[in-house]
Amino acid sequence: MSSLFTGEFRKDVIRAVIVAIVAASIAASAIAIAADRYFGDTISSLIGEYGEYDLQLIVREDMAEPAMEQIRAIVRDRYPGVRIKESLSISGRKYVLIGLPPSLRNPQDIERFPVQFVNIPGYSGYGVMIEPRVEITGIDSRAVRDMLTEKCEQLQGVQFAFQHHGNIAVVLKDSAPVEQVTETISQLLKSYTLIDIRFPMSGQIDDLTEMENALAETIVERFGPRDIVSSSTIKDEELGDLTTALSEIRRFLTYYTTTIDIADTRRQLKVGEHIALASGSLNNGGTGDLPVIAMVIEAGDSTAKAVVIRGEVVDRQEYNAYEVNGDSLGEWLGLARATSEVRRLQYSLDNGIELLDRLSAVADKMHGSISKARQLLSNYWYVIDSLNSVKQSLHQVETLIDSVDAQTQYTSQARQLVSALKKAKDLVVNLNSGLETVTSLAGTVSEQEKNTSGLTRVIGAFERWQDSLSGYEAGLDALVLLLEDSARAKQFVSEMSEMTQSALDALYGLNVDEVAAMLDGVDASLRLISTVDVQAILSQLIHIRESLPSIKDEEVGRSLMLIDNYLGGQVIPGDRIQLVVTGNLEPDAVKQVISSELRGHSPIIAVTSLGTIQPGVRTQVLHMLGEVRATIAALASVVLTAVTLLFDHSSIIALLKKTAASRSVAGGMKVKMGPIYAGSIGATVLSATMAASGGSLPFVGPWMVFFIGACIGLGAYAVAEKVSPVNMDEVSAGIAMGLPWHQIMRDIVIPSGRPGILNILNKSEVSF
Amino acid sequence: MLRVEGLSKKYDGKQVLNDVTFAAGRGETLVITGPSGSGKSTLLRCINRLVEPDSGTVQVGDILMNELNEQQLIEVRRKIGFVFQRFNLIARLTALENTALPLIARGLPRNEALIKAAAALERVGLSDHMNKRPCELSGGQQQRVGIARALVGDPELVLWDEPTASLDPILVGEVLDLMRELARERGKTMVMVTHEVKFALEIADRVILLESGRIVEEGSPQEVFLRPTTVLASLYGRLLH
Repeated sequence: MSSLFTGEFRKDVIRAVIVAIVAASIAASAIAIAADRYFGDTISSLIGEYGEYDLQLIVREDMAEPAMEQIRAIVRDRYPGVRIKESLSISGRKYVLIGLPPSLRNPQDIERFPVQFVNIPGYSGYGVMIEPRVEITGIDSRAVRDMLTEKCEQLQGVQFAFQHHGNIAVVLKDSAPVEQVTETISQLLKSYTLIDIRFPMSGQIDDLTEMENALAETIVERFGPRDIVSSSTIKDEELGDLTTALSEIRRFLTYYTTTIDIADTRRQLKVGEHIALASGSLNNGGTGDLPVIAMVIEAGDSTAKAVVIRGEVVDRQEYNAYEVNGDSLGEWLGLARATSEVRRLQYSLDNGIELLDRLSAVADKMHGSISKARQLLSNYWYVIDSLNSVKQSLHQVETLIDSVDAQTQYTSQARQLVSALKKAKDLVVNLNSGLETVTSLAGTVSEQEKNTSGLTRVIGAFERWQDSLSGYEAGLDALVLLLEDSARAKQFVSEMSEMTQSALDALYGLNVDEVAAMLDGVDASLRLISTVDVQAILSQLIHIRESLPSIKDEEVGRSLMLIDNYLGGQVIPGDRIQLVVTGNLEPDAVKQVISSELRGHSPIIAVTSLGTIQPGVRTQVLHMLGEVRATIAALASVVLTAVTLLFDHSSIIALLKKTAASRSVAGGMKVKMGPIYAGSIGATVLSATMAASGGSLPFVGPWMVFFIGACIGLGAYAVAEKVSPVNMDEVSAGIAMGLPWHQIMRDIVIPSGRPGILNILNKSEVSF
Repeated sequence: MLRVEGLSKKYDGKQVLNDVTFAAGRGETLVITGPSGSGKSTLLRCINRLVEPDSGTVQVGDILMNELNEQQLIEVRRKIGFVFQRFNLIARLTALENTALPLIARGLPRNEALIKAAAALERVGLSDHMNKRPCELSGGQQQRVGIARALVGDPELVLWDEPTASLDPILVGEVLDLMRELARERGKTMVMVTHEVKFALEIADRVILLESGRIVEEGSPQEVFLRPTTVLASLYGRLLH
């Protein structure tokens, strides 16, 4: 038995193994190539041939129909010559491939193109497919991107470069060797070191430029002369902006939310601790529905400030504060007072809006009153004249009454007098009515407003004037009635003359110029009010009122918690310095030098290359396809190895197993030949087939492949007798009749085994 | 011709053969009999080293079998015919090919081997069945093919391992007739393992009775079966009546 693999049969086995490896490699390669072609064709049908399309627009799948209509319309109107192809839909997003004509294949048009489509229904962004190109990613700063874009455009073989999604797409000339240009760009990136220094929010730097210059000098001093090719002080970008915005929002919310102040806490509270608030007293250890819950946002030794995260509190009200232990209440912590700045602001705005709204109407009314007052003043001298005329007429009547004999003349004079008195009365009545109007209008204005405008003094003058005229008006009425009776008339005319004089005295007592001046002042104040755009102020106040957060205290509190959670995981961005230095510097050494230079500022230092070259989508897809091809080849190799073992070698393995063939090894030990043979053949066939077919599996190296092959062989060893049972009676006969082992294999064992390569090759070796 | 001395063999700790010693002269017909499990077949297989003995020696002619390497052993086996209980024919080959195979192994040209094989088959009365495969032959015919295969090389020693044990009683006769005929030729040394006591009495020069791997009786058939010294031999002797 030991001669089995030392004679001619060994050649048979080797020949069969070689043929099996070749056949399996061809088969595995064919399967892999077929899969490769299939996937390659599929990919090409989906994303076009190499260089066929330049961009892809992404729209929501459910909006694809109207979106496509608009895309076609926009292209038809603005970009004749652009090719459109609907591609596949993945995860609810539809991809539309765009092929640009040569006239549009330039940075400006490519950067501008997607912007035209942002308003189409369901627009979800765009992607860049233009080929041949090299994509540079991981460039944090716009300043660096700009510098790199400019440098890349100057490289040989580069057609142009443009920026998108924070990356740089370097488009190559069709004739340019992609590998070579990629290597050149890679060298360009390696020729610089980007030193990114971020300072925490708490550590604001007074003069960044000065610090930047100092750092540049230090770097040159420490690492030798070199160019600081590009340096820029860059304030927060992107994530930094977001974090800053969130910090501001947090500050805004903190200011406007209802805060709970506990002046004298029984113990020191911790920031983030939850406390319960109740307007009455609650039982210690109580469970069930908790009252208002607040979260501590600031804590001193015996003071704390909290925000409500569940429930609502009333402004300026006092509450009892308790510890919260899970769902139950703990110890009483102290008295808390709720302060809602936003509610106070709301109250103030409501009053301000009402005042401004009324001020406008009051100003209009006062303006009318001033006009009337001016008119009255213009009638002042006319009234004086009229009253003098009445006084003169009364004197004449009095003289007339004294001459009783001249009755006829008296009667005539009396009639003239009545006529004059009626005119005088009409004047007085009108004057009185005007004064009443002014004073009644003045009554609609608040005392404060009257004082402010100087209206009080004018109204006082008018009231005194009005009192005099009212008395005089009554007197005239009585006189007209009494003129018919000459006896009583004389006495009354005498009284009226006194009243007229009294009225004149009152009127003369009025300082018309002063009142006019006062009216001018009031008028000027009113004009000043009218020049102010009260409506604009009013509308803005209403806008502010409406824009005040209408969220509940608990919503604000929870928002603050979320923002704190986010900010807790972020370095609050502060100032930032980026230095782009020529040469490839050792990161640890740079960090050490800068940390030493900026001691006390607690900076976060990153030393990296300028960016990373990333293969294009197609290159990635092709690379992926290559991996798929290799994996399929590997899997096919595994299957074919198993097939080879089961169909070609199972009868040999079964014989070795059945005869318990063994071989002595060093140390006198005997090893079973069956497992050794099966494992060796499996490992050899799989390793060779994998290598020949270009198969590979992720994370599986050559030794692992060898091991897997051996395992397949051992698997075949386990099932060999079932797959190819060996008739030991025939083998015994062969041995007994003096057949050598190779002939036993050729004439007895192999022909009765499974049909395979060994069986086919053996046909020429059998005796019959 | 054949000398076995002190042959012992264990299977899984059980002593199957225990210090067996005997000899067979040239042209002698030796029958080994005994109950099932007494080690008869093992003894026969140890002679041509189909089974390796644990100890003892086997000498065939001048050749000490124990000292042969694999290639030498192959050469010696070609000079020893072996008839199996279950025929052990190669299923895919015809009767003629089965018979010719030992000659091919000896290096005879194919045609010459086939002619000699045909003659051997004719001698066992199978000239009409030469091109049939074993599955197309009866048990007796298959055993006759087996006998032809064992004898085709004209061996000096023929080992028979219960050649009729697998045959139904009707077919036993034709095989025994053939064996009887071959034995009468007296040209070959034959060592037969059989339960056929009458057959042994008829053709055997000597009989060995094995029990539990040991020889308990040895002598002429008459001595062993008709004048037994052991209970076992007397039991076998009764089978003659």
